Amino acid sequence: MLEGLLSVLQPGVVLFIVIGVLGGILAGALPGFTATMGTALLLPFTFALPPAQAFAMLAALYVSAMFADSVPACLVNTPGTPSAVATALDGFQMTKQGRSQQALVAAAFSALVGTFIGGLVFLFSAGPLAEVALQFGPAEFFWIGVFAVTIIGSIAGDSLVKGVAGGVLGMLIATIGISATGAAARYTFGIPELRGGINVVAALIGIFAFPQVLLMVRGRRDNPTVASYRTHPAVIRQTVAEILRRPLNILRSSIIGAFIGILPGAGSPVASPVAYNEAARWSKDRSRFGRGTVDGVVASESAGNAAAGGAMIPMAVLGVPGSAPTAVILGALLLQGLRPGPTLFSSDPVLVYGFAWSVVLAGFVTYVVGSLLSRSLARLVLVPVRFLAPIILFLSVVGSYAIRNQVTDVLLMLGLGLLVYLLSQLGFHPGPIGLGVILGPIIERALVQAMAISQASSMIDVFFGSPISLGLIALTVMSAAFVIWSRRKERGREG
Amino acid sequence: MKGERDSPGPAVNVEIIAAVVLAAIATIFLVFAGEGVRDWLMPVTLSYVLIAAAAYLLVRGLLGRGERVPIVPAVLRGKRSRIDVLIFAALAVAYVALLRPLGFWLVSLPMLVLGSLFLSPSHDRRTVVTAVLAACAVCVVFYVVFGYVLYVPLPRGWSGF
Repeated sequence: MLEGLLSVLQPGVVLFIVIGVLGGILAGALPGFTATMGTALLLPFTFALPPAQAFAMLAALYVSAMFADSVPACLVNTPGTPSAVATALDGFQMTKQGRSQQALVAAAFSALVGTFIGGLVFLFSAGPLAEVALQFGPAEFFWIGVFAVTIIGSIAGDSLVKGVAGGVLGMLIATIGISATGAAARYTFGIPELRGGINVVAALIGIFAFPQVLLMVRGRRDNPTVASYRTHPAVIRQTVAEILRRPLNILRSSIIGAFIGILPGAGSPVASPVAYNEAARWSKDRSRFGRGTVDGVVASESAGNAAAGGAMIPMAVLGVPGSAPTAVILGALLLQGLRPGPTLFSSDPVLVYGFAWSVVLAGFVTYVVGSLLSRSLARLVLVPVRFLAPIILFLSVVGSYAIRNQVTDVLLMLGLGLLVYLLSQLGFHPGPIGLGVILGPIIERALVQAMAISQASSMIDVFFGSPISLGLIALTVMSAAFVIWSRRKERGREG
Repeated sequence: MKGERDSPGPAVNVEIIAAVVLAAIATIFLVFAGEGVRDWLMPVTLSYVLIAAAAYLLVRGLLGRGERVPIVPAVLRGKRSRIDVLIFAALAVAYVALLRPLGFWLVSLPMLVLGSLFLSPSHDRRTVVTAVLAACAVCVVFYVVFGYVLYVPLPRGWSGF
């Protein structure tokens, strides 16, 4: 393990970590770009590099992109990747209150702690945790998806029913395309591009960015900039101190993130909302969530980054990628002539532990770069709406097009944007709709697989037979009951 | 707001409008649903949940709970801020429609300039020059980032731009 650390501290490896971090910040901050696309673009450059440098750069890009997606989420309510949806809920509210730099610093520090804990989990408990992760079958994935849906209670806004309806609408939109069984083309209306399903990133740009642009245009006479910005000389120190005053939130969220990251197919998009929901549930004042609390940003970002570390465990231990970016990194391992799996730990321990340490080091570099840039980035909210609105429209269109070079994705972005803007006028919140789009396919895929298994045995056995499923059902029921109870309590307090 | 003409007229409960919208969306998903339990279980079930939510909102609306909004949309009542939204949305639609046939440069530059000028409170020479310079800078920066750093081919259109 120590040799692995020493191998990462070589100047050449550190340089490639810095390059990876800068690339990741660019990829994460641009709407339409994700960590997966960033790692895929970097892949050709790794062929000629020694394995230690290649994997350090890929890991750094992945880790920093997970932080950078919080920049557009906090500043203009546009999550750069699906995992930043929960970050936008409080991050953008903080920006509207003139606390944009505090939101970015909170995101950067949470990314550091999340990555650190995810990296430590990788270093010290990869083997046993991967064994536990293997106990998760389709039914358990179905229940974990349903559990994640209960976050709607925290982000629904004034009406819980409209929040639930928004989530259901998002899931309905996500059913467009070839079904999970591969037997039916659903709601494609003869458009071949829709057979592959809607692109989640383009859909999220439409759901969050475009309505935000229209709201900016509508309110520009009263608010010529997105928000005000308050300079604060000690903002970094004070934000970190504020986060550390409630260490349980960041620790709990990071552990949740690391564990969900280990589950193949779940990853950051599930980890962030689950951690956010738990942070709200355990908070003394749940009503602060969604109204600009640092704790919301901390929960989402630390979980998202810890999940990045967790996702590398099944990749290294079992040869099963825990997320899309780790699938690309797995490809890089194979291209380097390495065989991921249990034997990798015995055949090349320095490389594996070096890889884990490079995740931790990338977290530190990301925090330093993120904190240094936070002031300049935070001031972007002072750009007048007359410039910002056309630029966000431009980036939304070009970003949606860049995903697959398809105009269909741009049309989807535009159509969903207009629909969500109209729905927002009727009291619907975009958060649940975005969450539905992310979680819908995960839940459906698991449901269909579990139903296929249940043909061989009883459906009750499959869905309710394992202790993990029963535990997740109990958590879901408790979470839903808590939401209803706390909303009634709030209403009682107000009225 | 200055210069706005806004006489609300008859009103309707917003919960009723929301219920109608949700029911309409659910109906579309139900009408175009096919057969086969595993393929259609999810969309059909979700559509019925949406209808249940619509029914709940309808009852709330009929009981008089929720905000009342004018039947005639704000745009038709000449509300300036809503007309701005409509014009900007039309600009976005035109941008998307013309991007493929005309190419990145021929559409992005005019969109950025027109969008900026439309949202500017004044249209003096300085505003126009700033809008043009900002549009050029944004196009150049992102053309380089997408085209040369991230290797994303941007649409070129018939003109090759």
